[in-house]
Amino acid sequence: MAIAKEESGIGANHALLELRDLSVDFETEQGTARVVDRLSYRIDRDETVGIVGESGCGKSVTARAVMGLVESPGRIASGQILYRHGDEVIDIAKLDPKGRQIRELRGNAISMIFQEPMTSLNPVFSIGDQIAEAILLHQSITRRDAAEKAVEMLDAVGIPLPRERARDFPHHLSGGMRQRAMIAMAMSCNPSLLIADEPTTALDVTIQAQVLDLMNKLRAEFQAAIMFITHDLGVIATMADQIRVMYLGRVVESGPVSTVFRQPLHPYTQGMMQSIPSLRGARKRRLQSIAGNVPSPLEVGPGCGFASRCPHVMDVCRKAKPALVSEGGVQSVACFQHHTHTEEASHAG
Amino acid sequence: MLRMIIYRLLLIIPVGLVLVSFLFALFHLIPGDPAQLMAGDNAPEELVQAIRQAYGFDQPVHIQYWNYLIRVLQGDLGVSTYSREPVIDVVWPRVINTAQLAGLAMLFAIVISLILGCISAMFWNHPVDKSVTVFSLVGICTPVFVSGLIAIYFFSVYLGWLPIGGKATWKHYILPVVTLGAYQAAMFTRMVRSCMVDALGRDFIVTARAKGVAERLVVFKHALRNALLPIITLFGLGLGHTLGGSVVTETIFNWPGLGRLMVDSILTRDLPVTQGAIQIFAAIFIAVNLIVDVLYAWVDPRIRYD
Amino acid sequence: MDFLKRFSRDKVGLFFGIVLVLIYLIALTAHWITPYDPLQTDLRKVFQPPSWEHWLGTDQFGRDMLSRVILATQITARVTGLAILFAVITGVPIGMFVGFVGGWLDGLVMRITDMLLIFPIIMLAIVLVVIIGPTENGVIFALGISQMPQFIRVARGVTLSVKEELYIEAAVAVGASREYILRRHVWPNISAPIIVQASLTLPVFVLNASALSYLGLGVQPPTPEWGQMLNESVAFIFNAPYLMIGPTIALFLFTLAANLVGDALQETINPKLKKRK
Repeated sequence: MAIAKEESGIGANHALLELRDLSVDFETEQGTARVVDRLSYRIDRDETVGIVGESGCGKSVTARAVMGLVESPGRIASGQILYRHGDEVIDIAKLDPKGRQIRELRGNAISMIFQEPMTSLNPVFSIGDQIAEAILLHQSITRRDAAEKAVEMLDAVGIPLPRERARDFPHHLSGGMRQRAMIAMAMSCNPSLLIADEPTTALDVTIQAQVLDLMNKLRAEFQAAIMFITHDLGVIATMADQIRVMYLGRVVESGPVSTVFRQPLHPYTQGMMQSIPSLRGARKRRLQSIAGNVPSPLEVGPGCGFASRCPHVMDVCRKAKPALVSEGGVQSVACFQHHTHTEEASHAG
Repeated sequence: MLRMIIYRLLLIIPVGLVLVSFLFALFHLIPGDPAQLMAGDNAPEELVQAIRQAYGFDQPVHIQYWNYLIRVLQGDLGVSTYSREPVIDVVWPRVINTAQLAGLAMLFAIVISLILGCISAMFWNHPVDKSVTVFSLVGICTPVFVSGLIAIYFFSVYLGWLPIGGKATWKHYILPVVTLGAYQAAMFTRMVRSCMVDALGRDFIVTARAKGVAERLVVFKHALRNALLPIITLFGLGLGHTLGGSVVTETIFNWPGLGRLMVDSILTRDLPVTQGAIQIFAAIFIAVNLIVDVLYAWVDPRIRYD
Repeated sequence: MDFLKRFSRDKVGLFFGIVLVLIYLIALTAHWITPYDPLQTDLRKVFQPPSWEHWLGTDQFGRDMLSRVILATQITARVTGLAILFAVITGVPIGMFVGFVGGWLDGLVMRITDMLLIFPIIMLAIVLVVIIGPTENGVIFALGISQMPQFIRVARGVTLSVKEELYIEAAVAVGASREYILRRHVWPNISAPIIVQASLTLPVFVLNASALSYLGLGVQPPTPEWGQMLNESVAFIFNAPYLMIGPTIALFLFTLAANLVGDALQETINPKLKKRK
């Protein structure tokens, strides 16, 4: 049994992004809240990693941190965000968030799409202008060529009559079309990593399926790694290769989607699985929800964050935090039911 | 867009009619006999009678109202009881002087407030932001007649650099324009800042940053362009306030404008001039309001293209 | 109690709240605390610069400037207070009524207030003062009427939103009368926004009342008023510039305190409006 984080490494050729002990704090009137707590995980080239968790578990903040977009009162307290850009490895956590270096990565090597397509596009600029702006920022081509490229991108994301739509303003487009335009903008500079922060949550179910289908298609076409953030396990199942389950700013379980779905080890993951409605499942079985609420990051004690809601809670759970330890190779879990490694021990070692 | 402009233009007719009627009614509400007022307290009865006849005060109210309406529509605002000149000839040069003062003051205020407001929003909650906030607060709490007098004392009396009042050379423009402009700038800065803070908190700002747009462009292109919608309305309302403030400013600096004419005519009981000045002011306010609405529609693509 | 606790957390608001209370104390006790008779002329003592005897000097008639500033505080506090009262007791019922009945009456009243809002308050006030007459009462009515549209709008807005609430529908369903609903359900909701609006109106009134009297259209001499005192001091700006000191400071402090207390009240009563966190 090896500690999960040690087996990875940005040195490995296929690794694209690696978070090492990343912590993000938010200053509030009641004190400092640690929203992301010594988080470590890796995303490989061409891999889609699904990050799942309830709202407030730190998944979006992690994404923002990778973009260098953590806003005041939040700040990166410690840790590294290592990103392989060509031959060099850049620690994004150390870059000036308003500096040139991070701006050259943003929208170029790493791009992002957001939850709210209705408000994420600037209402006073045309769709085409907004896409062309991203292209012009990162490529040395003429304005006219950038506009042409923007139309091509709109076509690539399946927007009908792309030339006309490029001249339209965001309020002319439906939510699904706007999200397609956002995707076109994000893919326009051929990024190595696409961060999708709940891209389908605000959309209707049928539109959701279309957008997911589009993203799967583009993933193959553009060969980008995707960090897919969602609270919807169903979406993960159709999109992701790898899954990271987050709870209170930490990963509690990780592994290939197929393995984790077949045999979830953490009680939180198990709880989430049981709360998915299934068409095939027995009708009599009642849909379960996880009892209790997520504690506030301000109230985190010395023990496991899930202890207050866990059906299998033991004494040790309230005293120490379990480390994320690999179980049988590909799957890792942070739970004392499966091992006795505490967070402190793993850090000492 | 064209339809909206036509609609707004047509709307002027009822608004203007209501205003003119309102003014007519108001001046008939003034206690006392208007003829007596115009003639003066100690005027002989024959003079009062003559004025009454000349102005038609002896006729029934509805006839008076009708005549008044016709005259206003013809641009005839009556004759000044003080200078015996047609009101329109008295008022017109004053309108131009006031337009100069208010226009330059607005320009000053817009430039200063856009710069300070944007800087303040960029440095949100930082000492820079706080000092801008304090500056604008002090400005808002210092009425034009206080800052104007302080400026006169300092620049004209103490240093002797600038003239005390009047309107002859370019030097005469500086104090009135800056005094009036600074007050408006303080008002605007506060509002520009809050519009900008609001715009910078919107989702599309994150999108722009995530694209790799430089912070300078995020503020001055993405945020400012959006904040412009409310800001233009503010400036439109502000132009009204600047014209209101010009009344006081003109009095302080002895500026031969419409506002001072209005105040002087009130103090000398020159009723036709007062009425005329108010009508011109009202017409200006309505025109300004119309222009602001059209401008707003032009800036907002959601209105422009629908 | 909870309200006071929240308000006192805002240190700036609290400090200027105390300043405002002091200003009103001065206004209330003006007749007892003036060191000299503010109206008593003494031609042997004209144009005395500030001294231990006359902190702010004496004017062209030998009147003590400090006493005049203190008495003017009372005038300003009274004029602005009564003007707000007038705007509230006329504007709020109109706003509640048109908001409640809706229909063409509501539309008409809103059009009229829209039209009045185009004009800056000083213009409306000047026109009204000309009609009513440049007296203390004239200023009170002129200011009150010119800001009435604001109160109509606030009261109408609250009434409309309360009307949408289900419990009003329930009250109508069980046969409550219009008066009962307005008194029982709308009134409690309306006080907070009206207080905020009133507090935001106070500095506006202070400035415009003195502007009117600066123009000679406000409170008439010999009654002292800050704006009018400043207007008089212009003539002596070369030999007695100290005459400007008292009214300037008084006017600035009153406006500043009123502004900051208004802001603080708004944030306390209406924390939702607080700017980006």
